[in-house]
Amino acid sequence: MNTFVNATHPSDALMRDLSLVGDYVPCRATGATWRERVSARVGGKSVELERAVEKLKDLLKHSRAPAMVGLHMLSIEALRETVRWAESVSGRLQPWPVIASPLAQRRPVTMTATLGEVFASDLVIWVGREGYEEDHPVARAIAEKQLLAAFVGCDAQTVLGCRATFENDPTAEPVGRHRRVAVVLPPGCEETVASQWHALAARLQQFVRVCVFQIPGINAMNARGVAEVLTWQTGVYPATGIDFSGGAPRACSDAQTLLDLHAIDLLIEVGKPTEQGHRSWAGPLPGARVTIGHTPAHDGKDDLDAALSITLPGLFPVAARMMRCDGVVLWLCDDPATAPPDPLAELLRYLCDQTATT
Amino acid sequence: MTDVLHIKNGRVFDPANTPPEADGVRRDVYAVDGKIVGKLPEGARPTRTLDATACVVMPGGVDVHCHIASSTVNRARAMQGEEHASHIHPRKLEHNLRSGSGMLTPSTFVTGYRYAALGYTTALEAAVSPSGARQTHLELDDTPNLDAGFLLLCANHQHVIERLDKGDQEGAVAFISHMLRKTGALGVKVVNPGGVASWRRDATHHTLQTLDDQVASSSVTPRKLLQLMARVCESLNLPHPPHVHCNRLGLPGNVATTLETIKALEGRRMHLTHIQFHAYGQNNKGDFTSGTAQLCDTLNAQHHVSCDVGQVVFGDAFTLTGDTPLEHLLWKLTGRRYANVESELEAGCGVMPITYTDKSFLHSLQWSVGMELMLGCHDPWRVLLSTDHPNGGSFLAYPTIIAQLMNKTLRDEQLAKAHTRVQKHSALKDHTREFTLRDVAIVTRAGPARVLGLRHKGHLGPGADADITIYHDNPSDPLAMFSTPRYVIKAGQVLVDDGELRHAVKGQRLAATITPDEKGEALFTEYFRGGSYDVSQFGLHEHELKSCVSVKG
Repeated sequence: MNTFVNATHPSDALMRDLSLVGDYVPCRATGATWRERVSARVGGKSVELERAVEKLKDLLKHSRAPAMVGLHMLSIEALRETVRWAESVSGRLQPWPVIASPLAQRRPVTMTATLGEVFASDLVIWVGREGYEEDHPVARAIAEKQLLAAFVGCDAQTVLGCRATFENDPTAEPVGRHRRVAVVLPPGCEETVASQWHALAARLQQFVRVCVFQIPGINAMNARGVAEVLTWQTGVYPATGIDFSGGAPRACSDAQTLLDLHAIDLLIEVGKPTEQGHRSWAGPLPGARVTIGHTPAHDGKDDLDAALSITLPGLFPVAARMMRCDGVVLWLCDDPATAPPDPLAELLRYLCDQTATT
Repeated sequence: MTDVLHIKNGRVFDPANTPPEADGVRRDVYAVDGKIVGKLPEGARPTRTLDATACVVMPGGVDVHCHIASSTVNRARAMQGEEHASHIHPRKLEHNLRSGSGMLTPSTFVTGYRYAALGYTTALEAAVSPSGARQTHLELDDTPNLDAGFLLLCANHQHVIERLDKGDQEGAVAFISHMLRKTGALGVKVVNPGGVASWRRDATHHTLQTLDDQVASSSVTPRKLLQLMARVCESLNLPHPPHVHCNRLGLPGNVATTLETIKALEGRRMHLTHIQFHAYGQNNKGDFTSGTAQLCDTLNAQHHVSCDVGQVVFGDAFTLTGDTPLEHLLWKLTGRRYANVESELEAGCGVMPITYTDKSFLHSLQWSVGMELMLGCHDPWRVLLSTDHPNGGSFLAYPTIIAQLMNKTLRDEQLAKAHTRVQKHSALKDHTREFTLRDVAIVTRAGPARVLGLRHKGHLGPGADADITIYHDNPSDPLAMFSTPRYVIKAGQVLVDDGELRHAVKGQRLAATITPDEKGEALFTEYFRGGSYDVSQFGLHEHELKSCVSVKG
């Protein structure tokens, strides 16, 4: 069992780097172990952890199809434990945001350059820029560094028009005069539009270096880390979810998500759920819902609606890692040798060990 | 408690420690607490004895060049949904083995399990960008059973080229030294030196034709970059020389570039990787021919040069390379799904599936050229087995390749299925050499360990890691023999027992021993001020570096 040490305040550099990943609220560690900090509720009433674990075992025992959903708020360390847990209970993993498009499963490469490459471009072509750069830290960072910008619409007609123009004449404006061009796609860009921009970029490479960079959703947090960790541990790109029910990982149907199929009878939200997370699937919630993550779960209030809730106070900095949207791995602390371990990863490891089916 | 392993009465092949005539002699092998010992310590009793009477005992296999852990490999996994769906690996509760999927680019746990099941216990990830090093460490942490290191992509780094352009070789060496140390790399990877940087700067500069072409309108040339990388390896006393993927990979007549690359290093040590892809001649019609005759003559004479073959295997493969202009060219030729990703002005990596078919003249020639190189070079210590996994094919094809090297009949059977032009003109049919078990032990373990500078790997002498593979003694059926080892032992622990993987252990990270360089750190910090993240987030922290096994040159 690890004992937290008093964490120092994070450096400006750390906060600057992590601002491109998500919204962190520094929280000073208190010197307690994760077990002393954990709180649990069953049916809205406070219980001891052991009682909550018994309830969790019971729910899992009677579940034909448990699913761990959310995940994007988890560190890489916590994600590893979550994959192990899903595997051990023959469950499902459904990352948020839910992407139900068949194209998403078939086009896992959403960007062809890291942020540093975009910064070094002669020209940034903003696709569908409608003010989001002012709110989005990644877009703002690009806008601050750009030498020259062009703006085009975020619709299929526009990109098809660009393809017709540039493929016939790669020297046409606004691309022609430049050596290195970055196409920046907006958060939530339609797959059909994004794939056309990728196709155009690939075709132009023999005339102009063109990269495609997609701005992540404002709450995406470690969504890139989720995709990477789940892919390297299972071999399955998780756009539409991963199903361990057969004893080995399989991609869920690319036509519909597990949640839309109502295949899930136990929903375990792992990581601090977001409002968007709750709204990311259609239809009624399945029979039982469990939340495991950081408090406050919603607007500073505990999640009283859940059948079971196991939470830890948010802690930062911790000796854990997340990924920036372009795959750069960042520590969530200045010095991982002295920072406390991620308590959520420890909690998930404990829950996995306690509930694993044999 | 002391863990003592006794391997009894096996035919031992340990080329690093025994002359040819002593290989295959029956003897016992002992390991205490994960290390080989010459004899059992006084009073010690074996905690486990394995009867190897009908078996051949070799050191654990060492893959000198493969792609198993990086953001690029992960991209390839993600792109192969159908392949992964058809190769699933269920969890094995009884042995506490994790599940996974994939054959060409398996998930991390499965990669470790499958390597061990083939008798391999060490591997080198061959291409990692500096900013991607953290992900590689994370993936290697999740790859059991393999001790592994990686090579850092250095030769197309924008700042390295800028330093060299200013004539500041010292600064470039210091800068690279700092990157290597901070990332926990085992060595330097040189990919299409200058070619990737040229293409990064100007899309119309797709291919550098000679070693003296200018890189990105600078005074830097591929020759200067090669010489710089050799200097880096020498001055830092790295365990492994520059690991060179030459310019003009896959193009007709590129053997001339390969020979020029050897000359460019003027007698310094170098390792030429996947040399099969760089061994093509060209006839007067511009068609591909085999360039192996010239290349074998040179390799036989130049004892400072080692290489791995990059053997092509017929069937599905996946190209995965830091040579981004090449990957783009391949995409234009085949139109298959592809992605090229550029990283922080350091390097790039491309991925695309490929299928090698014996109906294709070029693919047949590539298979033949690989075999000709392995058989035509006299010194197996310097011409090592690889498929450049998964570029030429999966590492799972190693038993097939070994069988063809050991048995001319099997080779001839494959040649008979090859494209008719290759059947007619290939020099392969004239090669009568058949690999011995000693040759196999050299090209798959002793040689790679020596070339990589891993003194504790690839042999069974006292002090070596107790990584041991025990095969059924059946050289008349080499495919069966090398496909299913009887036992595989990693650091003294039995992983494969009776041909079945029953255990997994955590592998170690192998990093070159590099003294901190203040000048390099200062240069790097200054350069990184313009980066997209803070320099403190680059590479590994000191406590992470301490967890790596430090490999001295």
